[in-house]
Order: sequence, then C-alpha cells, then structure tokens
Amino acid sequence: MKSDAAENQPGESTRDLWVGYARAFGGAIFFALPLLMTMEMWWLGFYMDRLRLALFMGLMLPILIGLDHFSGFRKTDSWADDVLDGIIAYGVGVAAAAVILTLLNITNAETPLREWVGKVALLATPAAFGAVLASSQLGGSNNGEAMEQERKEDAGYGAELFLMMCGAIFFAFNVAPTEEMILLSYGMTPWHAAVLIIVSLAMMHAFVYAVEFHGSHSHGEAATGWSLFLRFTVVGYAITALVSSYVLWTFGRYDAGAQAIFVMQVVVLSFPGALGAAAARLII
Amino acid sequence: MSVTEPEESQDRSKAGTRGQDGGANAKTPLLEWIVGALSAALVLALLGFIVMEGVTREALPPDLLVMADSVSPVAAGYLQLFTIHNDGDATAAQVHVAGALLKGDSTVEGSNTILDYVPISARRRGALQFQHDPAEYKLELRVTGFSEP
Repeated sequence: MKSDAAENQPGESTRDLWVGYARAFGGAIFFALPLLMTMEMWWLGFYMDRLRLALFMGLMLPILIGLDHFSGFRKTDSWADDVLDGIIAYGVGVAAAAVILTLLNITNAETPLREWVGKVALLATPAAFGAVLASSQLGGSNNGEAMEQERKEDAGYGAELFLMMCGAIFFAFNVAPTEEMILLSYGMTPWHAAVLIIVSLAMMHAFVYAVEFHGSHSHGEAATGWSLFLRFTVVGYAITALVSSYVLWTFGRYDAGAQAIFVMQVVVLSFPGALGAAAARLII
Repeated sequence: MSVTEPEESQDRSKAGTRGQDGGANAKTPLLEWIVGALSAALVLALLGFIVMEGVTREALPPDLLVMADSVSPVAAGYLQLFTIHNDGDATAAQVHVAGALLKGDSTVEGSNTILDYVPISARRRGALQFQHDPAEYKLELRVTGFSEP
C-alpha cells in the first residue's frame, strides 16, 4: 500500500505471530488490570442492563478495528487485516479477562453462567483496548511503527477526532464504574462544576498545543492558537462529554428524574476523559 | 526484543522472496485466520448469550429464598450458616436476612445481617450469630427486604 510495502510483506513467521499475540495478551492485562480489580466492575457484570451491555460490545468492536488501523499489534496492510486484528484483539481481551478473574477467584466453578458472561464481556472491552495498544506502548517492530506514524500523519481531521474519542473512552471507562462518580456529583456545587469545565478545557488545550509543538501533527499555517482551540480543544471536549454521557448511561447512572445530578456526573467524568482524549494524540 | 531481532530480520528477508511469488493472499497467514475465527466465535457467543438474556428475561423482581445450613459453635456463641438463592429476574442489593429462635410461640433470640448483592440465579452464603444453640430451638429464617442495585 505504501512505499515501504515491500518491507511489510510477511515479515511474519508463525513465531512472530505468536509473539504478537503474547504481547497483545500482556497489553490486555496491563491496561485492564485496574478495572479487573475494581469491585464495581464485578457488580456491573451481573446487574447492568443486558441490552446496554450488548450494545456497548457491539459499538466497541468497530472502534477497536479503527484503533487497530492506527496502532495495531501486528503490521497491517489492509482494512481486512484491521478487521481481523480488531476481532482477535477482542478475543484476546475475553481470554485475558477470563484468566485474571479466575486467578483472583472473582469467578469460579460456582459462578452462574450469566454472571460469568456478564463479568467477562464487560471486562474484555478495556482488555481488548490494551491488546490493540500493546504494540505502540509495549514495543513493536520499528518497521510497523514507522508505517503507523506515517498513517497517523496522513490521517485527516476525522481520524484525529477518532483518536481523541478512543482516549476519552478508555480514560472515562476506567473511572466511570466507581461509586466515587456518584459521591462527587452529590458533593460538588454548580460552581465547582463550572470551574472544572474550564480547567478541563485548559488542560486539554495544553496537550493540544504540546502535540503541535511535538511536530507530529502539522496543520499548516492555519494552526493559530484560537483555531487549534476551536477545532481540537472544544470539539475534543464535546466528544468527551458525549462519551462520558454514553458510558454513564451504559452503567445505569442516568436517572430520568435527576438530570442535574447526571450533568454533574458527566462534568466530573469528562475531566479524566478530556485528559485521555487530549493525550491520546500523543500516546497512541 | 534485542534477542529476537536478528532472527526477525532473517525471517523478513526470507518472507520478502516468498511474498513476491506468493501474491496478496499470502499476506495473511493461516494462523491469523484460525485465531480470528476462534475470537469471532468467542465474542459472538458472549454477545449472543447477552442479547438472548436481554430479550427473554422478564421484568420480574428478585425472588429470594434463604435456607439454613449447618450450625457451628464459636467462642461467643453459635453461628447459623445459611445459603440464599435468587430465582428471580433481577439482582437484589442490600439483602436483609433475619433469623429468630422460637420456643413455642415466644422468640428466644433474634439476629440479622445484610448481604451486599445476590445476583440473578446466584448463591450467596452468610451466617447469623446467636448466643443460644439454634439446634435446640425452632429456627425461623427469612429475607426482610432489599434494594435495587
């Protein structure tokens, strides 16, 4: 596909593939361990709404495939390979979640099937993210990285926003299940929330500016401060707020009678989410 | 990684020649397809199970049944162990279990406890502590209430 295509021809012996899967498995555990050891996640695994759980899994698969395109655990040449790898990442995530939950005796022989399925399915998602990110974070081949770097640079505005959304999902997902989200929303005044939004935007913009400075993303002469702020920081925060709302709704935190509390939770969750979104362009 | 590098580059040069006459299909190894098919089956099985459950499960409340197990003497009295089972279609949280030791119509001693969660079709175990030996009285065990998670 690219000029270095000759180098990407199957430099993949069976051994290389197994190394890739092992790295993906390691990445899955590495990234999902905090959630695997969070009790709210075990509880959500059995009590959260089944159709919301299914919807969540269904939505995360295309996102994993898209993420694999930019940051896969294997050098991929085509979208077909990205789809295949995205599915494998989910499979690896399921395996990693099942193994760790068993190892920690959170699931055992007495666990009813539905409870096991719920816990594994829910925790497989962050693990699958880890599996996809394994290569870019835990070291892959230089060859593949160079290609992915090029791919990211070639990527348009939409792809940049996509990466921000992935970062927001991963970070928001890590804290959204905890009781602390609810407690914080009860304790904070509207003034706290207003200041938190401003601080979130400011921190996000610092990252956006850092990415510019880093030089890995060039936006031409139009990249003035305000243009960046509007096109990346504000849009990124809006995406983060939507992601936060969706994740909270998925976990059953939306109560039709108490919108004010829900908005407060969205603002609280968007704080780490915004950091994830902004950092994603640097990290992924 | 440094250990594997020479081997990798060797593989790559071998693969380069294979790739030239192998064509596009050779790019995706068979192993990749096998692992992919297994993963797809795994994910679809989970998804199918969850959707089935979401569609078929009725909106019935938790149905909790508490059964007495054995009695175990401890330093400060007696433990009446019990198992609680949820046959309903919803998870119960903060499940209150109350027990009483009866002699005829009069209550000799009461005791109660709270279980965090009793999920659908799950079993949870707990114990009530008494000062009298439950084996010598008529034991009454029941769930007094719970909240939605």
